[in-house]
Amino acid sequence: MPLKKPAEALKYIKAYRLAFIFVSACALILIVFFSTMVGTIKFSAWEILELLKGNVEGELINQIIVNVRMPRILTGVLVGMNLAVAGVLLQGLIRNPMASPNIIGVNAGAGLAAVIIMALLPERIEGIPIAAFVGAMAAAALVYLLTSTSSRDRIVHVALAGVAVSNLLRAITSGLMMIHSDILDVTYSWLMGSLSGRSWTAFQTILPYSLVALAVSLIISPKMNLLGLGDDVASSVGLPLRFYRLLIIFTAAVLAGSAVSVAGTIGFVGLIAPNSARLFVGNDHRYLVPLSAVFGGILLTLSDTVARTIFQPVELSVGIITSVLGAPFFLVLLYRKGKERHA
Amino acid sequence: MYKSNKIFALLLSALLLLGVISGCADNQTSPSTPPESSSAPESSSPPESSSPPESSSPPESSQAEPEVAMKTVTDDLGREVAIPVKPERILALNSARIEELFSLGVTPVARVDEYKIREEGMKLPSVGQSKNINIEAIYEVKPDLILAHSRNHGDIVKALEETGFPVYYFDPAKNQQLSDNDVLMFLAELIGKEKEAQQYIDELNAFSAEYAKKIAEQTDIKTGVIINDGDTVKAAQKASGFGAVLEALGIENIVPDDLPGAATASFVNFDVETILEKNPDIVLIMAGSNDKEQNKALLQKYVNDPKWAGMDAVKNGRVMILPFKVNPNRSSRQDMIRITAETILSSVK
Repeated sequence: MPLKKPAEALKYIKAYRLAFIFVSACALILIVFFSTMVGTIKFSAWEILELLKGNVEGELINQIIVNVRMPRILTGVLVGMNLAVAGVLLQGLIRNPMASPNIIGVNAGAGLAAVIIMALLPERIEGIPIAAFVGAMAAAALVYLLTSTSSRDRIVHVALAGVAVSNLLRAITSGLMMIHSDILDVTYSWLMGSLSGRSWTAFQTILPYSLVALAVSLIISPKMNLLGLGDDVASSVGLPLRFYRLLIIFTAAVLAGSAVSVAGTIGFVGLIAPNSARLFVGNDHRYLVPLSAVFGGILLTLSDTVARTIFQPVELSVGIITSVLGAPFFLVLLYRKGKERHA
Repeated sequence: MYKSNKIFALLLSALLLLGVISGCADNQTSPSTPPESSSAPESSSPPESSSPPESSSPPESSQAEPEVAMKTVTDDLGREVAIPVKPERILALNSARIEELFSLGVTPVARVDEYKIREEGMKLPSVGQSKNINIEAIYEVKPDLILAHSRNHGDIVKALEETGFPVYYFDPAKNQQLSDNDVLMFLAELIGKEKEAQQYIDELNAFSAEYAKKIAEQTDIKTGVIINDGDTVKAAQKASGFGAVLEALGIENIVPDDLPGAATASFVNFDVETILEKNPDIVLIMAGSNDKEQNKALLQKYVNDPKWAGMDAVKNGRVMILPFKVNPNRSSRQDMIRITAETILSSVK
């Protein structure tokens, strides 16, 4: 078989990537549908379809599917997408695939804010999502400000400042939890991350942030490719580095902050989803961003389905499942890809 | 000069941070700060096999008076401990056990910070928080028996033993099927207060039965659930003081008894769908504070949430806020039963 010309090969790769993203998106829809079927009471696909068409009158199925499962699952999809894309953006910025939303202090900031509410203002517990979002944004802003004076080693400084700020905030959080040990299980549960009882309000809270920030991420994805070539190359083609760094950090903070505000600090998604996606579509952010979003949605939907059904009626924190499911999945992918390359 | 200023600034920052944290600690011990409701007292655990008095022996501890009669018991950690047959200076290191001592007519020698039930108890000297005991404070109160809890004090066994005072450890995991009354009776046997325990249990049973009868006569409430409002849906289990209240009032808790950790954990992350499916006759939500407006808002949150709308409890106006005082850390068992019953009965007035 004759070798393809570069242009043809490029076209083929592009088509493959788009097709892969499309198939993955279809898989996400199927997984969401499957997840809607399982729970305390199992419903058939037919019943769900009939319900969606408005042909089912039964009150319990309406209550459970429309008011319990759907908002929870859809919120989970957005949380997964946000965390995954935040991970991609920060990995691109830091130029390190091990970066995650933690690197800009988002989780630690949100965690501290939530624990302050739980420990010091328990009567204002309804304010946790807003407080967590503000805490996440404030931590990210602090990290950015701490690095705003440096110029050349800025990327390294972002990572170092993120580590320092996160540790400081975590120390204060731990101090508060220690002193208010009577609320330890509540705070611990929040810090593990959960989608338990999330209603349409949670979905409506995260939706606008997700739509805008995911759209911005897609728009800036070509520029992320330029940033990946290094500061000198990016500057030489006229990319305003300062502006894009700020935009990337801000977008990642909005994505991760909004996710954490409705679901607590769920770990691992921002690391696993982008790196899994990278194995299929490479480092081109134009494909990596959407595929990571889809993978993030799939990972969180599957994890939450397991979390709410495995020990039913007791629920596990979804953060536990993302780690348990995500790590082996990631290792298998790495192993297979490694084998393919050797072959 | 500049360097020393920087060091000074760093030290000052560290001190300020410590100040903030210690300020929070003061808030927590203040009666106005509501302790988180989920911290219901751990269920206690009389070992069935472990502890009846085995023998009398001379006091081993240097702290004990020579003439005090002693007995050797095996605690839940499997340790053989020589304790006074009739201890007079008892120190309990968790809130629930302090209240149990009071209900047996015993005034402990000190309290933990979490204890906020009886005025007389709150005036006792503190030995710190249940999960962060100040060992030095124990020396000051000179107990002749320390009652510790394996979960909270498992990491300080040596430190407590080194005080020289007899230490008895309870482990809730060892006796999961025992009721609160069984636990109380066991404690009574341990400290020689069986008569007082029986009297207390009889009075409490009569008291509960009276309210249970009223509820049965005046309402058709058969099943219920107590929810701890928060980030996730947490329901009271059998082991919690709340679960015991439902049982005492003759209301079946929809949270099954056989869940993992049902006898040891106060609350469980519970599935919303199961609550909808079980459709309890009454839903009691733990108040986050004494603020009436906030409690009203909390109630509205549940009543107006579409996911709860299909439940009979919502339709029948039986989603209710359980007063802030109803908490094993703030009320005696009688008070919890009385206030809960009155709250439920108010729905039929």
